[in-house]
Amino acid sequence: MASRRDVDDILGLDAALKPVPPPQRQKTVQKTQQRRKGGIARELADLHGDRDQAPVVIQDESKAYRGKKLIDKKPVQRWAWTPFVNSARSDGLVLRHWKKAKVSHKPLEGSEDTKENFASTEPEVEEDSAFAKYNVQIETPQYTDEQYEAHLRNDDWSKEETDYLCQQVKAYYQRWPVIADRYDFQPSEPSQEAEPPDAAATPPKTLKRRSMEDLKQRYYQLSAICMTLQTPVSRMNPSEFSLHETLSKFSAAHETTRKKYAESLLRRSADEIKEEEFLLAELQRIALNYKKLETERQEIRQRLEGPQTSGNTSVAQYSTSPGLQLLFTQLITADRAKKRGRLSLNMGDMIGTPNGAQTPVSGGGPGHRDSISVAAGSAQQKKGSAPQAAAATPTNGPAKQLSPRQAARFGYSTHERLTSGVTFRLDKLLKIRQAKSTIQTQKIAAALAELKVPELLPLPTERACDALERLVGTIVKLLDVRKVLEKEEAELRIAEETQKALEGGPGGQALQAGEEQSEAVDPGEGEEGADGAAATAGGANGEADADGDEDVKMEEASSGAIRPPSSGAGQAGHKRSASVMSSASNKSNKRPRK
Amino acid sequence: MAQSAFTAPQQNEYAGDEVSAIVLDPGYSTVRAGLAGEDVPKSIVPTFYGSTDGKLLFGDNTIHNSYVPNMEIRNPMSETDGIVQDWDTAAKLWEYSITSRLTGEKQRSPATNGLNDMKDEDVEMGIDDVEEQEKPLADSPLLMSEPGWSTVKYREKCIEVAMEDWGTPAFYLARTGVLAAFASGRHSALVVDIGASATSVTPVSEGLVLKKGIQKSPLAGNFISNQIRLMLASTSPPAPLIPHYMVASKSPVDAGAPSNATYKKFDTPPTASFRRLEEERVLTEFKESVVQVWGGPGRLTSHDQNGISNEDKARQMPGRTFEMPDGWNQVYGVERFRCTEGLFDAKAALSDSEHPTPSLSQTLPALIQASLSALDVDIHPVMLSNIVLTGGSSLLVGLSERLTAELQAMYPGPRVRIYAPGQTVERKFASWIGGSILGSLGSFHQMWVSKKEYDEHGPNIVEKRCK
Repeated sequence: MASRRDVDDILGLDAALKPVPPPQRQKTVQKTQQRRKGGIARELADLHGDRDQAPVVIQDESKAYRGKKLIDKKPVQRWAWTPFVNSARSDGLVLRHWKKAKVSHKPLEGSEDTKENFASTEPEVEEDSAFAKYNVQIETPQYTDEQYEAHLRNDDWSKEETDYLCQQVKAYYQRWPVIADRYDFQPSEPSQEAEPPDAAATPPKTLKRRSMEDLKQRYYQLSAICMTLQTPVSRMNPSEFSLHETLSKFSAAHETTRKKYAESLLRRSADEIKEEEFLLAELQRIALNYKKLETERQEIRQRLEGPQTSGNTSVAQYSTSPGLQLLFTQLITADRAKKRGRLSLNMGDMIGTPNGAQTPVSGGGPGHRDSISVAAGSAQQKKGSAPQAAAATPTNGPAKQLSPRQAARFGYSTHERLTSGVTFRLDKLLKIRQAKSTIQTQKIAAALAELKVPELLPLPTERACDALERLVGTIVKLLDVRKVLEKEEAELRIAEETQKALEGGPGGQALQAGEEQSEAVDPGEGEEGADGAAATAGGANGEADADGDEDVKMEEASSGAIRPPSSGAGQAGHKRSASVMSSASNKSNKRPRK
Repeated sequence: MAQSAFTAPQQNEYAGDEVSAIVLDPGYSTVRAGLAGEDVPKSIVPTFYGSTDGKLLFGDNTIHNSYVPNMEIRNPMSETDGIVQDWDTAAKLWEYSITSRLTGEKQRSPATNGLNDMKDEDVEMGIDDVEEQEKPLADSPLLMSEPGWSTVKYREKCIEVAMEDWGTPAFYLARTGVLAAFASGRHSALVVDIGASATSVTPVSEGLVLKKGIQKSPLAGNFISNQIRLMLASTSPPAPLIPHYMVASKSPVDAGAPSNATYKKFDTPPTASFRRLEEERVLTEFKESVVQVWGGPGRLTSHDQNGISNEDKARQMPGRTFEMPDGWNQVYGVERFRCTEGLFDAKAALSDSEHPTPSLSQTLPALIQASLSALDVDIHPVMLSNIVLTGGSSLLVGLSERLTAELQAMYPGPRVRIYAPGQTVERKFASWIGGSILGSLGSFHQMWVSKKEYDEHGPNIVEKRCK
């Protein structure tokens, strides 16, 4: 190494004039050596000052870093560029790949080793590629010429083309889109086809374009028949049988229409898609709403059928005034918690609460009874009407006057006479329907059925029940009147016949004919006759009715009074004759549907 | 490729078994070649070659040299459909692309490789080796790609060249569409390949091309270059298209101002074809940095609901500056959208007497529609949800967004999904990458057409085996 002096010398600088300061290090070395001679521990001596040497950290040598040993005891794994064959190939092509060399292959001497690796001309060919097992071929139906002639003949398909189809299916692994895409059958020379006499007759047919459905149909049919040839249908196991079923059931025409539908589904415009989405959402909404309504109705039904027994047992606690007040507060808090359908009650509504020991039940004694629209399972469970009921007690003077609207809102009603105990409105309705005789009951039922009044009212509100009651009353009246009319007519006929008999001999014939006519009157006409009866009844009731007979004819012309009028003219015809009926039927038709 | 390159595949899921196959993917613009199993082609050689005094010059470094006198630049491929026209040169070019980077000198025993002291008897062996080396591919199977519309003759010629001229032990010919689908990890896809000379739509179903659905059109990279030329010429004053080799020095000028540059002097000026090639380089730069596709919704010429035309919207976007090699520069606003609009809207394409307006059926959406209509209805949804976008020209900014918008407007019902990898390499070399995957698969070994089979059946075997 060149020192600074040398450099200066080379550069021509005056080196001699600048004496190099003597190296300082040697001095310090001497110093430390001197100190050590002093016999004080080095660490302690360093504390005195003159710390030109950093303390040395004492290290365990065994833990110090040592470089990795490059020489491993094991020999390096060798990779060899080995040739191999693939048994999936028929031609025995030898390819080469890198593979871990066999241990036995490795000789010990280095010279031989290199020769093996680089100069070896033909190392033994590896047995087989690990990937040969992925060479999977599919099976196509196999048939002999005789079998083809016996079972598989098809006018549309020559044997040659059928063979070609099977070959294509095998080549493309049953990927039908590809098979249909690449299907290009070229019939061979006619000299070959001339051998079978019938094949020569159909060469122009074979050139026609085959659709994917045609190809599938033929191939599936072929497969199905070949399956039955191998194992008869009766001896197939379930999986084979189901496969056979699906194969033989394939229909090209059906498939074509399906694809047409699929195409139109794909070609929908954006508006159509939007509309469809909208309709689907709507349907979902309706279904949801319907479910909700259904559960609500179910709840109401349950309440009607079996009033809550738990309420009955604990009802005594509400029979006193504080108990009642407690109930009222509970009800109000429950009502406030509800989001919709509040009763809009205030605590101020409690003013009318009786302060005596009188219970609301006894308050209803002198002929007033409260009715709560739906949940009146027990008379004790009263909601807002409780104060009114209490106010109406005779001890408290005259009842508070309510406007009809208020009365309807609170479900407040007055009754002339009350039956004892608790009844369902539905029971009452059942009673209405029953007449004295079974025939009459059936007739009433028939009339109601014709008016499309359901057996069980879905929501038997008071108004609906009233309307039904009125309707049934009218029907009963109608039936009575009809009976009277029939009697009168019969009498009239007898009278006419006796008159004819009195007038002369030929009347005997006419009598017979008249009888036949009367027998031929069908039930429908009988009904119309009843309308006439209603008209006459109207007349009998005191309404001025000079042309009752004309009305009867008009009724006969129109459809009938019981059915709802379909046109204005029909309604005009009804006006007098069946005014009661039609108005009743109109009402009863509307109500229950609400 | 989807997995990170740094995580090794599991032992039981790795299906590769590499036999050092070479994958060759020739195109109109470049030839890609590399070893199967790698993720990028090692050798990318321009298909354009120089020809001077009967000598052929290959490779980027030689053909862009302006001091080679009388060098004519040619391309062995047909400009309309990317099929080889000049087979002799094409074969030489492909051989160059393989031998220049991939197959070096054959590894020999250290005793004979010339690195050690030679004994007299080794000289004869050296001569033997030279004879062996005449076949450049004697060791490696070759997997080559071909366009979907190639003819039987083309395919037979390919195997002939590979087997007889290059002496490959095994050969396979795969379609670019199939390979691009494999590169994206799909066996069924609708491959939209926008290359230099041709745009093609290839439906692939379970690894096989559906031939009836193949569509192609010339609206590709070269078409866009011409559109840019027309656009540059139509500005006032027309932009000077001076390639780099002509400029000796330049100084900065304002936008739109005439350039201030000194030009090189040549004793024998380079040929027109050379200038054209160099101009294309500038245009490529322009394509990469300025040109953009209107991303939709709607076409560039159409209006939205409020009556505002999309052109006005494009005008409001910030422009992009481009500087020509001689210093001339300009900011391009809506013009940069107009260059590419012809791909989607034939009427909006720029045209002059030499370059007529393309027909409506040549546009990208029309191609896809035509391709799908030739297919079975059942696979339409599969195709539409697996659209693979490849090719160098598909890298135009906004192209995949626009294509998605156009297809969704065309097919509102089924799900439309376009697979367009963000990595440039994956998009440019998709078919090569697919070939690399296929060639390194262990189960592919049974597919190769061996030399023995070729000798037995002749070149027509490629029709039977490479479906």
